[in-house]
Amino acid sequence: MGSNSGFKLGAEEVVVNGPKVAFKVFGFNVTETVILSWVVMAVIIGLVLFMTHNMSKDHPSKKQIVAEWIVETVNGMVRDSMGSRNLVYAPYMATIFSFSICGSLISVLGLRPVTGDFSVTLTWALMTFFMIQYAKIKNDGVLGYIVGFSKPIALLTPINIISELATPVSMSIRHFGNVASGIVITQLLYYALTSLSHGLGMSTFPVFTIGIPAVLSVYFDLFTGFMQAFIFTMLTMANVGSAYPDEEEAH
Amino acid sequence: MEKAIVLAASAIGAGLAAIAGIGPGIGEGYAVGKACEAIGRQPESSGAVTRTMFIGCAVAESTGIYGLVIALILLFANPFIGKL
Amino acid sequence: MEFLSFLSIDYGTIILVLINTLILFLVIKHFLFGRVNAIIEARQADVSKTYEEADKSMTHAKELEANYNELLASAKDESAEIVKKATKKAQDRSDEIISNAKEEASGIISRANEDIEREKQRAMSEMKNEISGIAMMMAEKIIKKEINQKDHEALINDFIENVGDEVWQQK
Repeated sequence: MGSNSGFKLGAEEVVVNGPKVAFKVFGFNVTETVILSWVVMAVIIGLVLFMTHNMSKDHPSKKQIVAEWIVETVNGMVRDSMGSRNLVYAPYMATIFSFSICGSLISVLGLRPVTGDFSVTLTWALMTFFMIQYAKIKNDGVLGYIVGFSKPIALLTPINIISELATPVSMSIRHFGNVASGIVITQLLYYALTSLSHGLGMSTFPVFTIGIPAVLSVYFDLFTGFMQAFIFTMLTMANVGSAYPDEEEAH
Repeated sequence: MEKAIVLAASAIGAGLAAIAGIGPGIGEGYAVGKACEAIGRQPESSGAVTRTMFIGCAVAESTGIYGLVIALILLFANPFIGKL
Repeated sequence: MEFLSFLSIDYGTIILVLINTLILFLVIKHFLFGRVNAIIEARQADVSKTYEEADKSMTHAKELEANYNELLASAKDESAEIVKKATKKAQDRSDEIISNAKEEASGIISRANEDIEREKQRAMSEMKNEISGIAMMMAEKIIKKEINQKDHEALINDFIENVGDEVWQQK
């Protein structure tokens, strides 16, 4: 780490930073995360527009079949876990899922994952939180919602409030932690492989850093990214669905 | 000197925080074992069992992830050094 | 270059990500779900229309079948009726023929009997006349004496009436 012998490739030391600040607008930071999320958005919107372009009722093309499959699958999952009364949430679930999975998967390209920023997962978790509260108010009424905190006994009110607040915290930290641990491990691996290359005398070009991280990124990026996106969406569905259950389930 | 003590304590704390991985490890192993049993008993419901198991595992993993996050904070975003 | 710390909560990021998510939500809701749901609904409407039509034609076919069955049943009844009527008619006719034949036969028989009776009577009366004539001749020859023919004839007739009848009957 201490050597100053000219130009070197690879990770020279373990640096785990937050997202880079690209520029500032009115004192607000516009970070790497936001820019990458624009890229992700552009990709998703492009895909959506491509798939739903020129749809026909009688002779669906392949891309239209894919689009229909996606919509049907999301609708089916929402109907299964939230009840058909909550089918309006299906586009939101699709949004979160696609945003999360694409945001995690761009780390395969060597970019910083969007979901590896705590602000992002916290934003989504807060959206989920407000949705849960809205669904509860819709289900119980304002008074019933407020009274609901002191059930089953009034003594449990603080615990109920804390457990309500714990939902977004736990969801955001779960998602962030999984993706961020992937970032850290990838960083450590780069560092280790660079050191190994240096130790074997290939100091100008670290050969080991070429193929090996890709294998591990299959687990840390693909698997974890997919699982966490799925779990975040499922938990959102489960929480919102149980806050606003179907009529026959409620009684 | 003070900084060295804080750094050492943070590193030890990070290591201790990583112990939190034990619980989810045992729990998830148990859950996966039970899921395997369930699939062995009823292979036709393997899809539902697997899905439920993954969600359960992810939820059980949260505590481990909390420990990991604390370890990461102590290692890479140490809040104590700024207080010296 | 400025970096945020590893676990930072950045308000700018939160606001921008919120906006991004909402934009993406609107796009997905409007373009993906809106369009695909519209297509699927149109297709379902098509399918239900087809089903409706199929149901309609099915009920129509059932109606036709019922009508046909009814017709068939009534035709069967009718044919049975016709056969029954025909059989009855034929029976009547044959009965009539038989009875006519019987009547005729009995008429013939009775006429024949009458003829026979009449023949018999005629034969008997002829025979009586002859017998009385013969008897008269015989008696004239035997007695050779002039007798009141009239008295004797009555006597002999009486005799033959009483005796010859029995003989005829027994024969």
